Amino acid sequence: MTDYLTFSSNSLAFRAEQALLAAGMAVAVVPRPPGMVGRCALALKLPPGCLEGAQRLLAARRIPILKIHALTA
Amino acid sequence: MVYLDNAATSYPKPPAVLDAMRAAIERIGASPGRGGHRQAIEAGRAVFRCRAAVADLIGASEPERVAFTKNATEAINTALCGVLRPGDRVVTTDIEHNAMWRPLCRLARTGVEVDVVPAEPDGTVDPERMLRAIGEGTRLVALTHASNVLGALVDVRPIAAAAHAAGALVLLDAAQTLGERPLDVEGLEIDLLAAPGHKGLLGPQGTGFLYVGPRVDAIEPLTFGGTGSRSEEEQQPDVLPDRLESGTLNLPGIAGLSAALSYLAEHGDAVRASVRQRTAELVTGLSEIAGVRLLGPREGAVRAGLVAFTLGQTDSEEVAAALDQRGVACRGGLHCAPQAHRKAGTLDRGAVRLSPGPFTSAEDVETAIRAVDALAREVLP
Ligand SMILES: Cc1ncc(COP(=O)(O)O)c(C=O)c1O
Repeated sequence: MTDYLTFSSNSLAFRAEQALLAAGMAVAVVPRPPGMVGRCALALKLPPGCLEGAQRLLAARRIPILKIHALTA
Repeated sequence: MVYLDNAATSYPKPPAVLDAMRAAIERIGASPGRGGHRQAIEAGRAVFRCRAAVADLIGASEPERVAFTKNATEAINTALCGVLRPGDRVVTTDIEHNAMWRPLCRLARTGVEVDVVPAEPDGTVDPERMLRAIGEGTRLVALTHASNVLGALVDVRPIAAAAHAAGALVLLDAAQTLGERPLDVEGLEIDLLAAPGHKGLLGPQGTGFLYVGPRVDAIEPLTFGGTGSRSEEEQQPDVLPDRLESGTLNLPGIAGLSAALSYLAEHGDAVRASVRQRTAELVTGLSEIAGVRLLGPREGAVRAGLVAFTLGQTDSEEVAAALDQRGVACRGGLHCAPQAHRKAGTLDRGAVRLSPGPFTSAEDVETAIRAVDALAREVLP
């Protein structure tokens, strides 16, 4: 399974990407993966096992996550 | 040619600006915020980098609150038309650029009450006078940080404090100060900050932005649609910056602005010191020429990087044209700010404005002073 995050705007997705990269997490904004429901064109792909850490860091930076998606890779 | 029209737009730009614009067109090319292919994502990332750099520069902790516009005029119009409704009261000054004054006049015709506080003759604004005008029922206090004719700096802090005490918002037009003066929107509690990217920030023409602070609970866009986001919805998105960014963004311009902001992050102190020094040299040199009358604050006082003057009774546009012939590019006339000229008593013949930039040398200033001096000897009795 791979975790993806979506946000209410592209700007927030890139801000989350910047914040997590700066914290040493190998994330990337990617095209919406197959199987993702909703209308977001972009998603932030997390490395395995990083969901909780990412959530914590984004909450601390006050970057709200719209939705968490767990998709089979 | 000696270019002394940086108050209109800065020239030259740091070379990295051109490189970044070229790279954006050649290597990214795609539309930011439209579609999810990798090139579009790279475009979106480039726009975000610039947004984050602007937010950093102005002390805003949320880059989403920075919406790109094509210039300061669009940003000011968006702020005024976005928050003011018929019956609202707005307090402003009598030295505003017409990017502020014309939309206010138009809003006045729709039932917005516009209260105008007179500035001092040198272009400073007495906070006490503003405080007396700001009362219950004021929705917005809208003013320039420095007049583009008089150049005096306005002390924003007490004005913002009074506005907030009365429940009003503050809109600051930083067209003549951003880049040259540090500005911290959160520290100064500025709710709406409008600025061009193409003057003191050294970015390309076609760039500007509006910062929208957390006190602004609702803002109507000037234009609708084409945000690339929430395409399933009929209404403009509520989220910033999408709410205020309709249509395809100026990717090459924004990439250029990013490069300019990196340049300023590295060389900002030297840029500011140099502009201040050249401005002081202009003030000193011009004030020694017989027949020259300087507008704005007295010699030695704090001012933005511009110096406007008159030469006897000669029409300012004739003086500017004669200086152009002598190799000095500057602007005569009313500078889109007839009110400031009325204040200075120069509404009939305008003034000539010399405005240095970070690349203006001491020799450039000397050339300009010599040209004005020679002209003065020629045209004055
Ligand atoms: C004080 C002031 N406000 C607004 C503007 C408008 O800026 P822009 O040309 O970016 O729309 C200018 C520039 O001419 C200005 O000097």
